[in-house]
Amino acid sequence: MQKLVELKNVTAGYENEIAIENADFSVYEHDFIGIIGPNGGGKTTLLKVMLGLQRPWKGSVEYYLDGGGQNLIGQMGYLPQINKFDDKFPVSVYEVVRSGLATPKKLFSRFSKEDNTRILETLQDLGISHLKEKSIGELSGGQKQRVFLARAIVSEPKLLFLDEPNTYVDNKFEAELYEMLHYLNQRMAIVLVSHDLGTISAYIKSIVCVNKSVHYHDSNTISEEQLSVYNCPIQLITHGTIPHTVLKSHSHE
Amino acid sequence: MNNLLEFGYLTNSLLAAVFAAISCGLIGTYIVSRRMVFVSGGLTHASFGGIGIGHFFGINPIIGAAVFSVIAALGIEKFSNRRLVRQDSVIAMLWSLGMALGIIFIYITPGYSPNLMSYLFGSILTVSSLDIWFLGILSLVSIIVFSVMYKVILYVSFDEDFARTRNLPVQTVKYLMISLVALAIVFNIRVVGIILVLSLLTVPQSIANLFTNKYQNILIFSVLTGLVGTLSGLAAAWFLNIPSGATIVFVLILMFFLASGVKWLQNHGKKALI
Repeated sequence: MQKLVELKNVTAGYENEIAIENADFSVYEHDFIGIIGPNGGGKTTLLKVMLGLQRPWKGSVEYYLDGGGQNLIGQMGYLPQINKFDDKFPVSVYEVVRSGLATPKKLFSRFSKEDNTRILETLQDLGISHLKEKSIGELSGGQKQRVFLARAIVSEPKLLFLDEPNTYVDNKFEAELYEMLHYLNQRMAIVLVSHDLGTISAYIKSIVCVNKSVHYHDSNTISEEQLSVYNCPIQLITHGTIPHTVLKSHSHE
Repeated sequence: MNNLLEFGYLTNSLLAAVFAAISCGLIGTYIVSRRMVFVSGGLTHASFGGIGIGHFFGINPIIGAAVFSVIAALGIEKFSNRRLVRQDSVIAMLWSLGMALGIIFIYITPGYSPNLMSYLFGSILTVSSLDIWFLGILSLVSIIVFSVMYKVILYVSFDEDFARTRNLPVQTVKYLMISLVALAIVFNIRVVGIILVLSLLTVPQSIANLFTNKYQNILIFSVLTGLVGTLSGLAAAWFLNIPSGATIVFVLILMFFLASGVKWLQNHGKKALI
């Protein structure tokens, strides 16, 4: 299998504080990695380092996408946490999705007909064609997640990064989201940050535990003992005939 | 002779009003959409430091203010990503530092001291030809920037991180735009003054935003509402012989309340009819 991104002993953080330490793993074609860990444990930092939004203090991130090096446009899709968005921002759904096709070269020219077709197809695939002209603030949490997913995949990336796409949504949407991701996983590798991997664990292929230290776990099941070895306090995931979640009891809560 | 002089004043004021509406309509949309009103307030007051320094060294105070504000703006943008100090506290310091420097330099300048009121509250009836040139060029540059760079301005404003993943020139756009914000503030100080300039940069956008949610429409409607506000404010000030800057601001805010009323009727009138 083709390697897409390799993290070599990466340490990164903000100001004087280390957020993640010694991250050392690779993402391959068709991977579906779930990143778990407690809040403030460094999950988002790890994602930003992988996306090239934040420079590592130590170690390196190497890309093996077409063209390699800096030329990664269109090959990495990104869905950030939606709570950082301003609901009053005057922009339509169509514009948001279109920004997923922006490149420095295309900034001064008009978007092509093919681009337009692609945007409309993506909107249709995600069942949000009817929202095209709405402004972003008028949407529900689930609709917003669909719009940002559309923006992330409209360029057909090889690698899709999702930061907590299962927040601010209802259970019905969450189930649909996982089905969509399962389907997308046939054509792209997915890295998903989540505080809750319970319901999605059936589709995930490997797990990365992040609590300042970063541990790669090459399986979609993980035991309480393993989590404690990884120093990763998080709710536990188990497999039965139906995927389900067992919450670990916290005495201090 | 007197009439001719008055005619000259009036033409200059009309031009200033038109250019103020264009530059503030466009650049204000960037400020409002990115929620940069507080930063802009800081820059507005910081620019007074530049006015004082310019006055002290015998250069045109507006040029002094322009240089000072652009440097302050670039500084804020550069350090806004660091978490070492709270950004709003830094802006508050800059805000009062500018005012303090302005007063000190004007005080220690020997001889003639300028009319402070005209900087604080503007005096569109006495704008110079140089001021008109500054405003005119700024308006032209704003029109060009917003039509050529519309998409990248919108994308960077909406989601910087995502724009970075698309390799868009995020930092360049931010530096360019914050410089335009600083210049718009400084050149419009002549029109409505330090205390009132923020309203030219926010009220037309708020009115436009009542009726449209599209960035492009807000740009255009803001310029148009700005034109109505500055021109009718100027006319009212001229005929009633009251301070022009204050009148323009008053008219704009009156327009906002009228527009809110219309909007309310639009929403509730329909329901009442059904």
